[in-house]
Amino acid sequence: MKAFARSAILGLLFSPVAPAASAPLAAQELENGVFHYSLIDADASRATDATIGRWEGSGWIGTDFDRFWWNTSGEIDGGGFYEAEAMLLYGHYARRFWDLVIGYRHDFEPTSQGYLTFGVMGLAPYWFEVGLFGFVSDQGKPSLRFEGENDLYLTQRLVLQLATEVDWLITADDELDLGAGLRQLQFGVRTRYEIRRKLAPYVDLTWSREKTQRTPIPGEAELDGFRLGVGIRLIY
Amino acid sequence: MPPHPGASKFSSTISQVASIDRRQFLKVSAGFSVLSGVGLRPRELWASVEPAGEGLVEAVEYDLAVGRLGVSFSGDSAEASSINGMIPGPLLRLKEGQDVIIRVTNNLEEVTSLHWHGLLVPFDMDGVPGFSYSGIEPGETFTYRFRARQSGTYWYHSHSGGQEQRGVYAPIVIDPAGADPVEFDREHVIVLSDWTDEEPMEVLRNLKGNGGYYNYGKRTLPGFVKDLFADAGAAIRDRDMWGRMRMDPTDIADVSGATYTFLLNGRTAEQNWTGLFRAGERVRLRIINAAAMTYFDLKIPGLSMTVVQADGQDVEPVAVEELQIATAETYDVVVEPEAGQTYTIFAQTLDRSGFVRGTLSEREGAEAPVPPRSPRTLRTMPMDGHEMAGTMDMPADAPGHADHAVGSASPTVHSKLEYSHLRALTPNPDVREPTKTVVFRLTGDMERYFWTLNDKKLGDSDPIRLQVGERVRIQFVNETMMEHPMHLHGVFMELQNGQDRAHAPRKHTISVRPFETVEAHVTFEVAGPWALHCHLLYHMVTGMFARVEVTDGPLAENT
Repeated sequence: MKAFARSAILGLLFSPVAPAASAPLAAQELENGVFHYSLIDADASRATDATIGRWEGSGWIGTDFDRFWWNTSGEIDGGGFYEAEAMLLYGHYARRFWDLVIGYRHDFEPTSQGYLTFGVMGLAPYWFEVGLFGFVSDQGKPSLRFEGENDLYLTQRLVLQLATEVDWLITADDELDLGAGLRQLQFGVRTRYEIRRKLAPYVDLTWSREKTQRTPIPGEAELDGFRLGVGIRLIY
Repeated sequence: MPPHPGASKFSSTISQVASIDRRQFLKVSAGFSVLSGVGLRPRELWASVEPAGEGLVEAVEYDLAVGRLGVSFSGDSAEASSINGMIPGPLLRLKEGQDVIIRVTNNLEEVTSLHWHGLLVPFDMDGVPGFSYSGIEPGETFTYRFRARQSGTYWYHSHSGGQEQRGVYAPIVIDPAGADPVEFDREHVIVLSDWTDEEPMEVLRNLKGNGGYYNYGKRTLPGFVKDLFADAGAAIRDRDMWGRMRMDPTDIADVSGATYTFLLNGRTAEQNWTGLFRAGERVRLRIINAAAMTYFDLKIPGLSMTVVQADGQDVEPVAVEELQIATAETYDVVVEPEAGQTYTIFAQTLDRSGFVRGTLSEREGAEAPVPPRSPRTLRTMPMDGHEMAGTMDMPADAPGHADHAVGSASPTVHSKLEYSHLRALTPNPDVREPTKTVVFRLTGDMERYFWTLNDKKLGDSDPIRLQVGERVRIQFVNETMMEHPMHLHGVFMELQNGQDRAHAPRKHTISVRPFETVEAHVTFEVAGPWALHCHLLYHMVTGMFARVEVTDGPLAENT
């Protein structure tokens, strides 16, 4: 998925529409038109003894300068949701390549928690899609996240996507039972084949390290290490 | 004349039209039947609209209807929009000095408009919603009335939404009042265009989701490795430069043959439009690029083409092997096909993602070999302020293609037409030094996919205010990686291309290359709000548009 949100829950409800042209100026009919975009990646991978389903979805709806962005991700296994979060943000085009965003993030799993969210996202030099976000949880605990990704074309349809995500707690969070510092680190290589731009099966290799609690329970399945998944990307 | 097309002005225009004296009008709109499918024979249909006989008429009338049309250009059925059920629509054949009355009925379910591209008409007859009028509502008929003040090859098209992409375009030929400086025995109109089964708004939505959506000629990792072996330092410096700028040197066309089917007179390459000639004839081709987004490189292997007109205005003849025709431009060329020969008219897109061809022959059904498409090119950056940015051969997989003198041709035949070759045949009346300069920086964000002038969309920008008779220098400063065919309504731009001022070619559309600065001089003769915009459809509709308000009174205060 693009480094940050790129679609909108609302987006599914709207098609590209131009504002009613009561006093139409030829170009203005469309230049402030509302468009939308949604992308979802869903895959299945094998970890330890469980099959894990994972999704990442994002999108936007709005004009060129003002957009609502959404973003959701999570993992599910036989026992239910392992992780699930969703964000809804308002973004304004601050300058070429960059949007400033503000909104709300909610984690449903592993711990239900809400966050005031703000950040900057856009296209960095060398075509890196990046996002840097600050969060303040409803318990007042601050944290940061960095996301980055880059597409490398092997052919015109076979694309290697490199992606990383870093989550960092600025202070200890008792709700999460985690101390300050790195909460999660993830690197992924996702190779997709674009049958069409909007339909691309992929193979994903992700390495991740994630702290789940201050004192790990002996014997509990950990998701650290490599995972190999197979999935599909859909764009609407 | 008030500079603003207020509602009162608009209604008074209607009443004037309604009350005009209709004596001696000859009705030429010979009932165009609505044809469906692609079995149109535009040539035959056009032939039914002959020029009005000399001295017989003072005015000519046309009835046009914009409506839907089922087509199958791509092989799949799709719905197009059309004028009188034809794509391209009917040729308007006019005579210089003639009064023209055109009734346009809107049979679509949305507002439409028709704009006479390149014609000098009163602003309220120019057909631009928001400038000339509010457009033509569904079910309504609007009557245009103007005098053909000029001669040459022009075209007309919808100025509403994506209708031009859907098929609402057609040619105009205006015969000169006096002798034509061009000698020819036969003529053919060649309308080039691009068609997609996708809705225009869907194309735009795809581009806003991914600016490279239609680009299947991107650079690849294996290509980088190949370049590394060729010259590692150069390959790294090159990727570094493009990467830092977040620009793509393979981004030659925003919309490509990945979705487009290219048409010549409404026919695909397979359907092979054929123009006939007889041995010994000088054949004039009136070439119009009515595409929404496509530049074409056009050649006729075996024939050199003598360019005699650009954008409807006569130029001193210049012989070329090939010419690039930007979106919305027209070129008239004369060719002298040899007896017994058949020729391919070959128009390939600038990004080499597709082509269309037609045939010149003495008989129907003949065809000549279709040349291979030239290699794709990469954009290059200007290394200093003087060098023009353009395109270069792709180093990895493309041998250089001939862009220099063609050995077999006579020394006066240029391998490819350049703007600097164009020289007006008749001198321009106004050669004063401009007293005002208006700069349009061509700007935009390819990633977000919107385009602007001076970093502003039409709705966010103040109008440019000029006076009738004022000599104005227009500078287009292209700050983007794309060509932009800049079209100014209401006046011809005298392109400062190195010719003396009196012979600067008069253009309605000037293609500005990446990072190039182009200058043109204008003198508006007619007051009104006039549109200036990039003629690439998806650039125009996202904001690359400005309002030029020309007054015949004193200049209003800028607010």
